[in-house]
Amino acid sequence: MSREHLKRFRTPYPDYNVLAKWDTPSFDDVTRRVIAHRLEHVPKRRFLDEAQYALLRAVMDTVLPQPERSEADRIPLEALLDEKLAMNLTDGTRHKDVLTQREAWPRGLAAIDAEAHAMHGRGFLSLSADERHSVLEAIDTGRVDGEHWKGLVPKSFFRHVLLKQAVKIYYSHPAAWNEIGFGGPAAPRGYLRLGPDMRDPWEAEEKRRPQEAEDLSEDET
Amino acid sequence: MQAMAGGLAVAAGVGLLAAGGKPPSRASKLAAGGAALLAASVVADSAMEHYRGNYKKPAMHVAPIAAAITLATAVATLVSARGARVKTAIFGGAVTTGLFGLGFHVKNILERPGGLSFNNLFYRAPFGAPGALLLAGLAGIGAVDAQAADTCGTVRLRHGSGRLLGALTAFGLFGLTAEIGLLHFRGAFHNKLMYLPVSALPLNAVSIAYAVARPGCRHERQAAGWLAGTMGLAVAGTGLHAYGVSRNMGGFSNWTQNLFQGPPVAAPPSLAGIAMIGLAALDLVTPGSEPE
Amino acid sequence: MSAIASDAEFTLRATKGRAPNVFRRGEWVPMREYDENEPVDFAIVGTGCGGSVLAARLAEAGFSVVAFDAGAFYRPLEDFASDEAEQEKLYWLDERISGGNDPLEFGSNNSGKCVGGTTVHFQMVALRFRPEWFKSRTALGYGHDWPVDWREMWRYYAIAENDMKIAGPVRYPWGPKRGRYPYREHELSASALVLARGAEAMGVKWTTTPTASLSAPRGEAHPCVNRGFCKIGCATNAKQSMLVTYVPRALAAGAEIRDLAMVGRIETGPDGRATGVHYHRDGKWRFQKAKNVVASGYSIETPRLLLNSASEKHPDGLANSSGLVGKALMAHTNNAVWGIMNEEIRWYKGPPSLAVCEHWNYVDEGKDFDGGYSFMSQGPLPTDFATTLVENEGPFGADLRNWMAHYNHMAGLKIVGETMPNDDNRVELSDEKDRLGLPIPKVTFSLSDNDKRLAAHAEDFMSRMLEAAGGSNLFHTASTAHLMGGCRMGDDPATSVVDASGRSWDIDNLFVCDGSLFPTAGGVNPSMTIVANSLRIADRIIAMGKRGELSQSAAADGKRGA
Ligand SMILES: Cc1cc2nc3c(=O)[nH]c(=O)nc-3n(C[C@H](O)[C@H](O)[C@H](O)COP(=O)(O)OP(=O)(O)OC[C@H]3O[C@@H](n4cnc5c(N)ncnc54)[C@H](O)[C@@H]3O)c2cc1C
Ligand code: SF4
Repeated sequence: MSREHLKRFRTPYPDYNVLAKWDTPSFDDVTRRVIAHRLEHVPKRRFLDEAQYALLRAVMDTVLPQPERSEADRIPLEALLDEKLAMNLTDGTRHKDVLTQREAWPRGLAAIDAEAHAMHGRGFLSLSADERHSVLEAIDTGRVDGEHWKGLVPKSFFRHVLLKQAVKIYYSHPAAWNEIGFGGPAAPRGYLRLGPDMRDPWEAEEKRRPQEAEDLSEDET
Repeated sequence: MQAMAGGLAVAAGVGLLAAGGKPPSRASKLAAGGAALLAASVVADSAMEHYRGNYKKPAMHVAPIAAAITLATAVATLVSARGARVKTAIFGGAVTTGLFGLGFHVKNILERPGGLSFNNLFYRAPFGAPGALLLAGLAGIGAVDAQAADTCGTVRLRHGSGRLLGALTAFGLFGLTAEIGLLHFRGAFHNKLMYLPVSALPLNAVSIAYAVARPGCRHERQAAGWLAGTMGLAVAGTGLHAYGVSRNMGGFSNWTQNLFQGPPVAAPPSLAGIAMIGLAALDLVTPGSEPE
Repeated sequence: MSAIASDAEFTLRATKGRAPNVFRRGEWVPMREYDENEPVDFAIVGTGCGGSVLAARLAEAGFSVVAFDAGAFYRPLEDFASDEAEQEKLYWLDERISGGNDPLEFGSNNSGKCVGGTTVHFQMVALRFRPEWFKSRTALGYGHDWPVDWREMWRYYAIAENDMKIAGPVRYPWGPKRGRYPYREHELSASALVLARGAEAMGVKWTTTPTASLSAPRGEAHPCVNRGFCKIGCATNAKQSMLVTYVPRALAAGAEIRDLAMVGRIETGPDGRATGVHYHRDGKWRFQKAKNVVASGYSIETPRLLLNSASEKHPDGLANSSGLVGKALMAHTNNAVWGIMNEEIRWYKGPPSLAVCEHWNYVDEGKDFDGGYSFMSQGPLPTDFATTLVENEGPFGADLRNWMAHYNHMAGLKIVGETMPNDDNRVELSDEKDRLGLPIPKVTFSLSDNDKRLAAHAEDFMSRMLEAAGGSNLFHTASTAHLMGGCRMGDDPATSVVDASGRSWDIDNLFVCDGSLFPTAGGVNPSMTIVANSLRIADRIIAMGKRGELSQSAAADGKRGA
């Protein structure tokens, strides 16, 4: 993976706003209630302590950087994750000999910080964006020290816990639907035009091609 | 959109051209009325369907425009007997457009994965719409022809014209049976009433063919009865299709989806169009129906 | 997941003589109720493909039936949001411990928790087994034979398909002739056309997938509007889940459904026979007396319940003299290949798997593995796809957002791959307890070498196909879906838990009826086979009743409980 991450993200759908459909038949009452709650209610920190919370935010900003969004428009990944942990929401699976989400997150965050110290001599929070990226990359490729991970497999924690939870929250947000051109809520009105390159007037219009994707499989080591 | 506006302007021109002539005969009026109804249904259907198709190909503008011009010409034929030659030429254009449309639609189907599969027949470009334009054009030509026959007044000419229109009616009814059969099959005949048109229309076709084949054989009344039934189907069908639309999720308040989702409300009126052509044919072959 | 959407998860809805009318907002249908102290003919645990079908058929035959479900009773039109996160409420999210070399993911992958069961959020692919699979040991040399003949199953498939108004192709290109599907096939979406194009390029057959979603109106249910949220619950009611098919039928025939009712134990008497079920509802444990008990909780919960019902007479759990309860659990491999297409696909539209290729289910030459696989076109919603992407490939940073920006250009092919029944893959009880004090299940699962060869074959074949269809930047992902087995049915008490009627070999008034009966997994999605098999079992039970072979002769004579 080159310095791709330094490239700024550019959406192919600059003019699309899924919320513009709020009062159309694409939204029904129950969906409006659910989305309104998600947009209006930013949960207060309850589970993690202040330092962990700050670290979590920095990690989330590395995993899903949102430089183009103001603080008010930013998707508050750390707050929504902290709420999930506080409510002890689980997904039905606890891997044998693997820590629960509530155990895994504090420990994983501490380990990330420890890796930052080991690699750069400073805590994760005081690293540059590039350095932060390199720390997480080292974790994902298994080039890290097992010592401070205590019961976590670094790569599995990174992909199956950290990235998984991050994208589940991020791509549940209307702002994320906008940037990928997802049609969003669709009841009672669904779609009429199903063929390739076909679009209903109430779907996102692609204004430019998505940026070249890196070839993921070749990237695998 | 601009092309559409242009088309409508041409149509208006046709209307003006025809104004002020002497009123046409009953048979001509009926046939022209039939052509108008068919064309109107094509205008609505092709405008909607090609809109659904995002007007991807420029040729997709042609159908609604040609149908609109045909509609205007048919209305002109309905009110005035003037300009027979221009009208025939315009109706001829509709016939050509219909034939090309059929060709395009066949090509569209064959090019897709699955080729001549049910999925493509169900959901791809239908044969019915260009077919209806073709019928409208032919009926228009028939209307002009009927006017000529009625003006001249000889029995031979009137019968000849009536036979043509009768054959056209039978042909149209069979075509519609196929189209409705396919689409109601797609709907799994989930409502038993959906069997009605596919069983009644072929019988109607046979009865009209019989009546015009042997003019004066007193089968006209029977055929007229069938045609009235087909008219009734047109009205009932429109109502039932509207009910069908309301059964979709969100009903009419979700019209941006449901008018397209179907069943097509604009389709059944074309049955009335065909029935009118049939009535024109009967008028020409029935003894004692000559204009004064 | 919250009271914001509806109160169904917190408030009993099937109670006081009425149950939700699933076709209308806020409305009810009358429901018959039975006395807990008066033994009902059948207490059924679970209302999925096994439980609800049996409840409907037995009630229609005049038996008194109470069916329990741990989950909520929804009205799709008003309770189902167009939102992935919210709809997680449909999954069985109680923790299960997952181990083995290839630990299973539960929840969204395979287990539902609501009245109607997992079909409320299934993907509606409605396929039949290949006939030989019912005798895979004898005919194909692997796995176990089913104690049924394929022709009998063929008849019940047809009934099931008609009951669920499956929309399928006019001619199905594989296997022996089948009658016409009751509803016509859906319009193919762009993502389905990718499979079609690829198949034609590779010279293999493909077809429109038989789909449990209405292509025309049915009663009060609206036809499909292509909203594409099928996998997280259909708010249109086009999806023919158990919730809108057999559950209303069961209620209309006089069955009682108890929602938010978790059955913890099946009670057995001094003679070792079942006497009823202990269940937790409305904050306390209760007991329903029953002449017959049916476990229909699916491949994890059914074994868990039988094991947790151990008694003096049955120290290893109920129906477990063979030691097979919980064993030979199977999943389907769900490996996929994904690629970027030049054109916009917008795979969020329409039922997600509208095209299918069963080539490798029906062709045996050129395979280096036992069993078969089918594969379908795909249409995952954003978080579903993002999760697959990061768990398998791990992109992050701007790169991740960029990858996801190709969402509308993506297409994918995913298999339903048969895995071999293996007694080491099993459900057991752990020492940990859940919030009701019930032992948490522990599941062990490892893929065999054969399973891995099958998946590798599929990945290779599908990659070539996706490339032939114009896909670029291909990548592979691995996962599993569906559950089968855990309480195998068979002809021999030593090698199976229940007989061909679902009746346990050990206890004559204890039945199992759900996906856990599968002796082998087959290379197709399981629900139609579960429904067909349940219909078959229902007929057998009704016939037993007529012959006076049921417990206390709970005959189909219209005599009911309270
Ligand atoms: C995402 C997804 C997509 C799928 N797609 C398809 C597909 O396209 N085609 C296909 O054929 N199959 C599909 N399946 C699989 C299919 O849905 C299941 O195989 C099938 O529904 C299982 O039926 P069942 O009756 O055995 O169990 P279930 O439907 O799971 O029913 C069991 C019910 O029992 C209840 N229960 C369990 N234990 C207890 C207890 N102790 N007390 C009270 N209630 C209890 C549960 O709440 C549940 O409602 C899919 C599954 C998933 C998860
Ligand atoms: S695509 Fe059809 S079946 Fe799926 S959720 Fe929408 S309406 Fe229901």
